[in-house]
Amino acid sequence: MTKEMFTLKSSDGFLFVVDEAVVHQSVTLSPMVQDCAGREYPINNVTGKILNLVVEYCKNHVVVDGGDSSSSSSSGDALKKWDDEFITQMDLSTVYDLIMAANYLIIKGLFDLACQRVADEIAACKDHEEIRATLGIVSDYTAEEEAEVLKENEWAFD
Amino acid sequence: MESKKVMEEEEEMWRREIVTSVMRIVSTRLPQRDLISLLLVSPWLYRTLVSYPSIWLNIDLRERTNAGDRLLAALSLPRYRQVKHINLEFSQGVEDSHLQLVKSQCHDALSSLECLNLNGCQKISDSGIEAITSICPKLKVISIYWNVRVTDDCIRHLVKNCRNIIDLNLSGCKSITDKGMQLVAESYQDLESLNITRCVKITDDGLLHVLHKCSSLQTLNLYALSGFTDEAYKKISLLAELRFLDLCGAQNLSDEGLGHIAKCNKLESLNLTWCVRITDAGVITIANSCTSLEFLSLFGIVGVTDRCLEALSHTCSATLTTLDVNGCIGIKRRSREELLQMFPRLICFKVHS
Repeated sequence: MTKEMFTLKSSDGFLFVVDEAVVHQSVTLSPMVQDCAGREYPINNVTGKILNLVVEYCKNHVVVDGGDSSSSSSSGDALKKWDDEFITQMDLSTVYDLIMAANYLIIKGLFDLACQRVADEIAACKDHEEIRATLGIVSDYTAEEEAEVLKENEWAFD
Repeated sequence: MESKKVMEEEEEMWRREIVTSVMRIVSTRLPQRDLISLLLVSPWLYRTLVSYPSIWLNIDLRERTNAGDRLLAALSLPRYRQVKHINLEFSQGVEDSHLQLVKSQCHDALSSLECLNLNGCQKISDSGIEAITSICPKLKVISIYWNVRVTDDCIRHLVKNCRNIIDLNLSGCKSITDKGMQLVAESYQDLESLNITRCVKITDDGLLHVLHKCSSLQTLNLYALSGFTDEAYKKISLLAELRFLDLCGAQNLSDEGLGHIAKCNKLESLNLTWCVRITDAGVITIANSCTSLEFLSLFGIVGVTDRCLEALSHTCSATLTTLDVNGCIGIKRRSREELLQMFPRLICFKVHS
């Protein structure tokens, strides 16, 4: 039985040829299986760099997700390890783009993985100044404004 | 030069948009402390985040000191106007006076509140409950674990002010009597979860009121209530939707009573720890009827033998993941390996310590 292949085209013109099992992992793309075999399917708001990562994730998740739900715990562990390495080696800016892409394409596993990376980065910061540094944000607060916001929210901190 | 500056500005705006979108998405996964820290990062982030009420639906003050004052400060902020969950579990410094101040100063702030956790807030009495319930008409879930001050009056205030309660936890509220149960039965016929652990003043009469009227109950916790008899236990059969039943310490429960309870065939979790009158007969009626059972404790029951485990293995081996037969000296084959043979999906072998 020949596998159906599909061509995804990123916003900047890069082409990715993938099989049905990859496409099905995206709730947004899944319906195209009916219509688009052999044609290029444009994904207008995802660049090639990010689409490449999305496809890599999906390819790696085909074997386990497509199988039965009682897959052995060791293959589950191996996949988790792959996921961890996959998401940790990226810089935050790439993770943001991945979140937006996974959100648009509705790929839950990837979306959760990427969001958790950001949440973990924030959790590791001891205060808002460290969060600024980690997220690479320059604050526009004046000293008075910042003091005001701190006072308004001091109930939340010890 | 000019166009480069414009490009840089546009890029910065674009970056901010992405960061704000991402932070909004991620904010639902952040603990309160981190979420509020984001407000301090930058004014544009502050402005966007506070404009989304959907990320400000929780106030978490678990285990905090001066929690009463902290609660007042939080509720004075407009972004919490639609708050749905307030958690004061095991916090200190929450008194009736604070709840009365919430009523007088923030009376609009709780109009969307659905869940209130006052577990361990031992200083609160009926009057604090009266104050807080009078301003949260949409309350669905309330938990007042381990408060010995509240009396049936607190239930009177609750049923008057909050008509939509579906989950009521009065565990350890030892002053509650049958009168309180009658009020619950009359007002909360859609109740789904009731916990009256250690409410030792409640008798068969009080429980029967609930069993007759609250037919939607899915969870019923009667832990450490040894005063009930079969007269009430038999009527548990009226609860067709029951999934979770805790009868730990039900020393009067007989096989006949358990036979009636077996009619609740959707049961998933059954705790019969220390139900010392039970024998194989009772457990076998459960096995034959409650075929979705996932959690079962027979801890301390000396009158059950291997026969009942055999019956259970015929009907519940596909679903049972927790089985506690410690102290069941009548069962000879109950090593871990032997249990796994009969119930291959078991992962937990000990419930009661």
